[in-house]
Amino acid sequence: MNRLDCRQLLPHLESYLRGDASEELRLLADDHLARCTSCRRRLAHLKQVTAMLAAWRPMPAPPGLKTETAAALGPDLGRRAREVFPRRPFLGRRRRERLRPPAPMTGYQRVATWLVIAALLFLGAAIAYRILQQWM
Amino acid sequence: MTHAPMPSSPLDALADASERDLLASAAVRADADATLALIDRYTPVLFNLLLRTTGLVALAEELTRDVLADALRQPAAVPPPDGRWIVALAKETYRRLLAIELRPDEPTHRVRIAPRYWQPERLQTADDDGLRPATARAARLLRRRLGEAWSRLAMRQRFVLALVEPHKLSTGELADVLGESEPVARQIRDEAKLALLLELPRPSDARRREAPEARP
Repeated sequence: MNRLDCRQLLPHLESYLRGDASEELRLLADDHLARCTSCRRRLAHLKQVTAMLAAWRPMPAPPGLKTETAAALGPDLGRRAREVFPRRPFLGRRRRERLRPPAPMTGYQRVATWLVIAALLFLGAAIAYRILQQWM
Repeated sequence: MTHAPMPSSPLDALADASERDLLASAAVRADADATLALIDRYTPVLFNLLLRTTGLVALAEELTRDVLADALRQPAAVPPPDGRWIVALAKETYRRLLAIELRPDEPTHRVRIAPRYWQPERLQTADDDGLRPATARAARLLRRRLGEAWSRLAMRQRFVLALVEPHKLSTGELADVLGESEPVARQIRDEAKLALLLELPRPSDARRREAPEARP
């Protein structure tokens, strides 16, 4: 029996995972996977990615889209849609971002902030000194 | 928590109705509530398919409205004889995506989905609940990287993956949507999944990069 190497198996991993690979390919893949840790890990990774895609929860449709679709079918249906579909606020990412506290500063940002504050203080002190010198 | 009675109660009564019954009611009796129930059910489905495919909110809205309205103008013309309505809708959606010349095969047409519409937490699987912290962290990292990898796929690859996985399309249904034979549809699906997988860092690389974060 021929043997598959990693490069040959890779394009067939998805079919193997779904169980729609041919019998011959399945046997060759079983044989390779029994020997190759890297491909077993890749198969597990593929399973994880597939599960995530399958469980991808939909975003809510923008408010008004259902009503607009109904209105495209006729004014009566549009009126009925306005009664039936509640205008829920769009709880997208923007709203949650506003509620979230600001992200903590990185080290560079913190140093830069202190440098700017120090420069402003120095500038203020220099200006105050010059003004005091002129008065005295 | 109590809910005030909503005016959507007519649709609540149709919540368990099969799409075949709703289509029949909409077509034969011109039942407004059946039509609205179909709109209610399929607007988010099509909008998300198009958003994940094109990354363009305005285009997703426009095509969702057009495809759904055209299908509902003649619901008898797109019945699911022995299949699902999503297949008929996806087929029409794909035809229109091709018609607006987004060039689905060309890698140059790669749209980055705006971060506010790419919500990695929506990729959370039920299995994530109650995972050990290290595993949950790894899952979070994978979701974030999946978002980056997704934006580097070609449009047809995104369309196929956004359609096949969440809606559990069979190879035959996918072939119908794409207008290809089953072996070709299977090949397109496998290539799309492989492209996504290759865009992601290998698990060992991810673990190596994850290690410093994992330290207390």
